[in-house]
Amino acid sequence: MIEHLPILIILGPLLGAVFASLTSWYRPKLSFPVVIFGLAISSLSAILIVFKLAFSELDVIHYQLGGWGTPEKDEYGIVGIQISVDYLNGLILATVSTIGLLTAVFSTRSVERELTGQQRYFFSLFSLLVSGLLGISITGDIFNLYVFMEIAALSSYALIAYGKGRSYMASFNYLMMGTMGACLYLLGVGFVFVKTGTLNIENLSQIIPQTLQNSQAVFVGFVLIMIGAWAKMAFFPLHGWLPNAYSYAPTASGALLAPLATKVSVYAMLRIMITVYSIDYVLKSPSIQSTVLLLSTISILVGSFFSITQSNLRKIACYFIISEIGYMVGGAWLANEPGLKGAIYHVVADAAMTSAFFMIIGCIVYRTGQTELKKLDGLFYKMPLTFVALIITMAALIGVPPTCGFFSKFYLIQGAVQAGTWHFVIALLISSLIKAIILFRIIEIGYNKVPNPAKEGNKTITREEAPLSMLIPTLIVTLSLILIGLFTDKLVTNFIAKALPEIPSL
Amino acid sequence: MAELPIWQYDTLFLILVLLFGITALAMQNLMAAAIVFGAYSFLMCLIWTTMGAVDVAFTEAAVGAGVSTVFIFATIYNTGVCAKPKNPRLAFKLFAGLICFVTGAFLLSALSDFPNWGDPYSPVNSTISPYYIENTIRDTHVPNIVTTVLADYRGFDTLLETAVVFIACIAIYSILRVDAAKSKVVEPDIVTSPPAYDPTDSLIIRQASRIMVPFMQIFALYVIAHGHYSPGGGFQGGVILGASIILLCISFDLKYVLRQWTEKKIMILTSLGVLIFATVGLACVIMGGEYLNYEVLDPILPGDKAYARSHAILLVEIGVGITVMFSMIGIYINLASNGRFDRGL
Amino acid sequence: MEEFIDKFNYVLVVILMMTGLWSMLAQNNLIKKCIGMAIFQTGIILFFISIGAKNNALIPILTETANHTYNDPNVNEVTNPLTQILMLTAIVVGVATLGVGLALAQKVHQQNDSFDEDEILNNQTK
Repeated sequence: MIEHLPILIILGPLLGAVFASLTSWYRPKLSFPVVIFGLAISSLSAILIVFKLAFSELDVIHYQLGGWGTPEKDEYGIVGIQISVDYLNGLILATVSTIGLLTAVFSTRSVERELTGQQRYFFSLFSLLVSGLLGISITGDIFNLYVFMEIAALSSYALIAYGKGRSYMASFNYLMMGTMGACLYLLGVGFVFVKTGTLNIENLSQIIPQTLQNSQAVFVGFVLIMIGAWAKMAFFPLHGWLPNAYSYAPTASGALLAPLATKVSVYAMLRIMITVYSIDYVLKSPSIQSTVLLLSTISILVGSFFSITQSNLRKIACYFIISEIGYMVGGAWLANEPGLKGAIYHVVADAAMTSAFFMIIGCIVYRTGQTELKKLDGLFYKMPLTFVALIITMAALIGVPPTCGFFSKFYLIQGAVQAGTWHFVIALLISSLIKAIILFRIIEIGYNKVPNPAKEGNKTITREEAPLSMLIPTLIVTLSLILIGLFTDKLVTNFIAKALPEIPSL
Repeated sequence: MAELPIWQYDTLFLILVLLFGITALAMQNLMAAAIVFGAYSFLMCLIWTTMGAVDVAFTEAAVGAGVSTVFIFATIYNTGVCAKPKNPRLAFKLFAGLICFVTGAFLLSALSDFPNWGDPYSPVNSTISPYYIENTIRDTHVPNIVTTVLADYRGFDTLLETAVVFIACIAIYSILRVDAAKSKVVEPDIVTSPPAYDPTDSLIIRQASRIMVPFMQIFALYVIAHGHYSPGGGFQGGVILGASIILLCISFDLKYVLRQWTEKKIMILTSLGVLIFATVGLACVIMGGEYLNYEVLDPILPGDKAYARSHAILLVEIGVGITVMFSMIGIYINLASNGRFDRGL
Repeated sequence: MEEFIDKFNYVLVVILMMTGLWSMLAQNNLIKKCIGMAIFQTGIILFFISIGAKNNALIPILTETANHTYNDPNVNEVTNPLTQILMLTAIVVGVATLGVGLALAQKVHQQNDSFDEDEILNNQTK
């Protein structure tokens, strides 16, 4: 069974969703355990495969679907679809599947409350979204990646539209932007395909850097794929859809989409950049590189400045995502060792941070019903654990050691200094500063403003945390922020350093 | 080399298609736009047929010219046909035009790098695709190469594609479905939408479709079952099966169809198709092969290994057909009745 | 110039795609946006099918003919099947997206009684 682990990662949630949609017509209560079971299988397989990778001599674990694609069977070795796990996507797979599982546990209660009577397919779509994201991460075929992209996208449109009201328009805008991104990606694949005739990522990585360095079609394909990925991840000029889509969605959908969907698109970008095209190729077009770096800087600044003008915690979190996307794209396009390390590390770290942030928001919504900043006064006295978790998460976002946020920022700044991209360094620092201001605002409101119980007619302040099924996943993810930070060294030397491609010295 | 003048036909059709596309987008009346869009899809089928892509043309005829147009109609029926030209947003439109112009120019900058139109020795045509052409008979005994690649060599794509259709169906269900009893029924505005059919005066339509439906369904079953030897397969057959039921919905009414095919049946069968496909794959794992490696099924399927693949392809196509058929019906009913499952187009 | 005439069809395909893209970006009407999206997608499908076309080739279903047998087919006489499969998938994905887009548009219309983007935005900011 061990050799089938890669496919189990995707099949777990996919079949879980299908079974859940079947059982929802007979025993609606059973849907949720079925989905949890599927996600648990996927998470377990992902973690097992990461350990298998770490303790074996292998650099990459392949799985040939349909048995095609082995040299014994067909002389080309690329006839079928291949999925593969290496150091780069192993980490992403483990992160995505684990956060997916925790978020599923987390969202039961909030779904019960927010979507009473219409949650029939919610968990099916939830599970399908996770399987789409895992598929994007695991696939070794650029067309297959497109199909997975659409699986993830279609289920996320529906998950956002569960929010009713304004979420329909937000979801429609997301659909337009998402489809445009996916179409440009597909067109880019077409341009690459014209010159190479193959869709297998490994095969492309042998062909393009060696023989097609100067092909204009392959270059156009590269730019199109990048723009497609940027539209999907809400990178600066294409970020308009994100704040509305994620803040009008139900809390459960937001908690799943916000940490995972954008990060997986960043992974897709990294995979195309460093595996299919190689860093050499990126460095060969310095004008594009400097434009992208400038855009990342603007993205960070725009995200930060908009976040400080918002009065709603969810909107703040959404603009944080936009600024964090700037970190990752910028780090990747610095195209030097610390920058790439920082970008890959930040994909994992930011997935955990955003997940923690949105889960905390979910807890607050569950108890207080709203997320307006000024109405959160005395939060510390009402929900102490949640408030502490919020402080830790904010500290991680700012980059306070020993949380994981510090280390990613450390690598990113190191990379930017090495590349001499000072505007990126300054943007990173300003972004931290603004997040610190927001942190102090939160402390000011939540801790210093002691609510007056007499005003509400109570004798004492009622201390009421969110239910355990929400609180425990939230605390696990929050603790992981510190744990990832503490084990940074192991993570970087055992995985991220091995995931890096050969970087040409300047 | 004596070249057939086929590319010139293509150019002619392409210009027509372009005109139809622009017309569809320029029309103020949405109903007219939908009809022109249907014609656009139909011309597209002709282009693809001239290029030898019969399966794609077949799918486009069933999906693009067929159900897509019906979906747009169903939406317009519930909303109204006129696009009001209120705020022209000229500056923004020009800006968008500029973006598209730059993008187009950028795309065309690679033109000189492209292999010639129809070059059999281009990388696309000479890298892996010869393998499929040369080995399909040896590997699967299926002469329709498209079916082989679709369901076997790249079967995983097809599994996911089936999943996409399934997702679309449950996504639309969860977006639109409302409890008819709870929501107040908003009757579509008779002025802006086409007149609701009086059941008494559509006798000819009803009788004609009553006669047509069984033939459509037999043809669809033939398309699924004969997909190994002729253009067609699960998708096309499934869409035609779905269309036959949609025809009943249109010529009679939704209630008539829902008596036979209840909401529950439709939604369960939608997921059942994906399940069949995925189970065939899992059976391969249980028999000791890779996922979707149908070859290892040869102890339980008749014939040798290649025939095992051929039979498994049929099983898989049936799964695809079921999901596509009921997804199309489910999507149509939701769109046409605005999620109330009471009355519609 | 000769090259341009040789590849003139690609130019048309790109114009078609850009028409669709422009409509997705600039049209006010949600249904028109959906139609534009479908046109953009068919443009891309057309592009893929074009790169897989071969001069004087038959459809990708093997038959027994004079210079062409089941077990030893003449590769240059059969159209590329791979691009066709990819585009079959793309067509189906396209109709799925169109359906979801229309469903959302219908819901938006139900709330705002309009398909016009500006009107909807005005309604929502009110």
